[in-house]
Amino acid sequence: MVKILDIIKDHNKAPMFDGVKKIAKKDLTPPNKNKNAKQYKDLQELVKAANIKDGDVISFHHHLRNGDFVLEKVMTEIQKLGVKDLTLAPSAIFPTHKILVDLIEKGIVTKIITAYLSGPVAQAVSEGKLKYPAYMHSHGARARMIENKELEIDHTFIAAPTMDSQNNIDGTTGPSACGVIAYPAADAMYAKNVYAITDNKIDGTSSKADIKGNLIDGYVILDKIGDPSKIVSGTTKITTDPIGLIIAKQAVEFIKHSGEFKNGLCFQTGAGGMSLAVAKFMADEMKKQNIKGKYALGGITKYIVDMMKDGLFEYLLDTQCFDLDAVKSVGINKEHRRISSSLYASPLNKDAAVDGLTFVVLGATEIDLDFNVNVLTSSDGVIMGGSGGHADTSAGAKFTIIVSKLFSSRIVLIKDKVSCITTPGETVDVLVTEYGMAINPKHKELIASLKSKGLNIKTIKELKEIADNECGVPANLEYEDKVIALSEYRDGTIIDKLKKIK
Amino acid sequence: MNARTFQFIPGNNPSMLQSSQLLGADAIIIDLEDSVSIDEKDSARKLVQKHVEELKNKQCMVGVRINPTDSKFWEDDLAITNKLNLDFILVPKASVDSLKQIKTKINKDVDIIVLIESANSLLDIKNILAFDQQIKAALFGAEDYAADMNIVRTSKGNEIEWARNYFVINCVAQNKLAIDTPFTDSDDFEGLRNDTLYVKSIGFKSRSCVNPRHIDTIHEVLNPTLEEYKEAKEIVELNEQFKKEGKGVFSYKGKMVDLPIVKRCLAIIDICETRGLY
Amino acid sequence: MTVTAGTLESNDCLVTIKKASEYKLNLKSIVIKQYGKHIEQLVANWAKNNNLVAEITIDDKGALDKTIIARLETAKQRMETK
Repeated sequence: MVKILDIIKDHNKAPMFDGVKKIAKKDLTPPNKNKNAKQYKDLQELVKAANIKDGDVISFHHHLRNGDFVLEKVMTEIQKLGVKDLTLAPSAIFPTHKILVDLIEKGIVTKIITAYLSGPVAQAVSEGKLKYPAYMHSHGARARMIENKELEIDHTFIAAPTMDSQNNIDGTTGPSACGVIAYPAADAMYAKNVYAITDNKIDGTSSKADIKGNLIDGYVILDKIGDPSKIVSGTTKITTDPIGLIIAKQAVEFIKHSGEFKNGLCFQTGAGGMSLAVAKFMADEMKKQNIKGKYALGGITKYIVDMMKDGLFEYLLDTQCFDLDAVKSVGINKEHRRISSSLYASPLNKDAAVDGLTFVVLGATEIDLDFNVNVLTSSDGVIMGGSGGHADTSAGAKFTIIVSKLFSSRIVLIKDKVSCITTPGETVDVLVTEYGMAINPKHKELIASLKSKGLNIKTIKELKEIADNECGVPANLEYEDKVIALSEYRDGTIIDKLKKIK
Repeated sequence: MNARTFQFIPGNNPSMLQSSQLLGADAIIIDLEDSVSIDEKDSARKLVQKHVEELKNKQCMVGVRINPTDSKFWEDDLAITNKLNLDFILVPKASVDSLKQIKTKINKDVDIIVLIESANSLLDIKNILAFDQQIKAALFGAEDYAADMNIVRTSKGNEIEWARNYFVINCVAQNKLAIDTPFTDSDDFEGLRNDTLYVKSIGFKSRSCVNPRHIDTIHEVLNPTLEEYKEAKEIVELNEQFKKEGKGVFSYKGKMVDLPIVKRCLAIIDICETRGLY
Repeated sequence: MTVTAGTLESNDCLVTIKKASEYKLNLKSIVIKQYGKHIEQLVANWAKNNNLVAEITIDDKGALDKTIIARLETAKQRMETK
């Protein structure tokens, strides 16, 4: 079996993507753990006791998003140890994690493995400052590599909004509540050393646990593990941009006529303004046609919670909460269920929820004529994101629907070649823009049927020509030879390599 | 002229000019007047000229609202618009006198829509509409009318009820398209629906808007229903048959059908078919 | 003498023309990598066709060619009426 660290050290030996293939499910049993967590008086004591060595793999979860204090505080202590050549595997990196820029420049951190990279750290990686290429993967892939032992984590630090008397961790309560804590489930089960960092240790037991207490080796109580105002949004809102609304309406037109708009449908959409507009119009249409879905999945917002309350879904499967209403709902609605990232999207998990999806609505920075999608970089070739659940949901859903403006401020969506492929075109079914929708040519009958129903269907080449005529054909970006990031497809192969922009 | 919606587009705004054809309105009114500041009239004129000249893939009617004749801009506006391929010119502060001046400078073959936005112009609407054959429609500007009347404009619209009725009756009497005023509240879609239902009930077939998000709701209300469309087609077909037999009037489902009814049916069919509704 | 036209809104550009002894273009753009060379060519051609020798500064927020030309022509007209 190929180890992730070996691929990063020599990416020329990496297994390359060769088309989407059926991935055999695996029955994976985590090691039996029955720990009795030791309390440390502060982070310094904990980090010293952790016995962190050169080359160790350290992980964090991103549920506190840009309000996270834990990564910075822990790495500050680790830096004092004088260790170097560490691999960092946080499930996502935000602007607040800027301490990593310094650690990268000093060679303390030489490898990064993550699903999402933004802010100053993304800038530093784009400039080639990280010693080895960053390893960019999907959420489901992270669960796979940990559970399948392709990546062995030495130390994981779990930000814990609430820890009860049995050391069970719950993300839905406490001053730094963030909702569901799905991403570190695999870390907690498989890492050598598991530490919890909390600002809310309570007596008694909480009724629900994201992470069981018997997995925890040690913990520290801090004053604050995060800034609540930056953890979840107060309210997520649907877009008021008339063009965004037009695109969203067209996406629902596709859904209506796809042949799969019926009882039992399973649905996922993003948290951006346009994606939420799709949810709203979908809800209106489901009510009109009396359709009851089975589950809604993914990052959950108020709009999805309301759809369940209105009887449009039997239950919700939540991997992260995007707003306060979602956080509240997990606590009080029985059918608002938490799932781990493995159960969400692991390609090895036979019960992965993405495989049951009928429709998923996603964005894209760039897309090419074969429907290959880039969500890793901006149009300038600079890293500003990552696959997240993109490749997983695209693979699992019957219909993957990309919604995007064809061009905006002269930045065009459709290119001959994208800066870096994250999601292969074979898993993408339709692109919906304000100038019409392009359906993957493999759906011959659907294309004919939708044309006859009067939908604005164009080929992806025609859409590209419209953009090129309006904006002019953009010049190609110029790259140096240095590979600064590897884009992994969820089956463990490398689907693309990103080079440094000149 | 047969259009359900007229969307205002600020003339000095490249973003809105670029997306104007995609909004779904039956017509767009590119504005050189109220939405453009005095210092930017020249900018707007040039920007509009370039965007309209290079317009490919026209999806709807395109017109321009020029500045009023009591400003120093209207002649330069017309000098530009006369060179463009436009469907109509919207003349603000329309009056018989202002139209006399407009006629000396405007292209003979572009349609004119008059903007009725004061007490005087409302009372003189009969003469204004009759002034020239180039005039094909009238738009009721309730905001400026309310300012002229020194009354408060509300979303319920009681204060403009009489004005609206007088306006639409005059338009219908002279066979000109009556275009209602924009709805005041951006986010009150229930209110928009009710207001549009009301104006439909008194004879309006068209309304202008400032907020593009209103377009769909207005269309839903103003569109003939599928039943109305089917019935209209039946009546027109029957009319053809009866005409051959020399009958000018006939009975349909217990009601008398004569020429005005047939004309209304033709208009229904036209809207449904040109906009691909059914 | 300096004149400006346009705005810094999305899809627009702010154009400044200053009388000078030789032609110079200072271009700042959010799409400099994709359209920088193209815009330089566009503006140089326009200046040549209009016999305009000046220092032109453009702060571009993704304006299409027709918008850039419209703003340049407005600035030129303003210079002529001063």
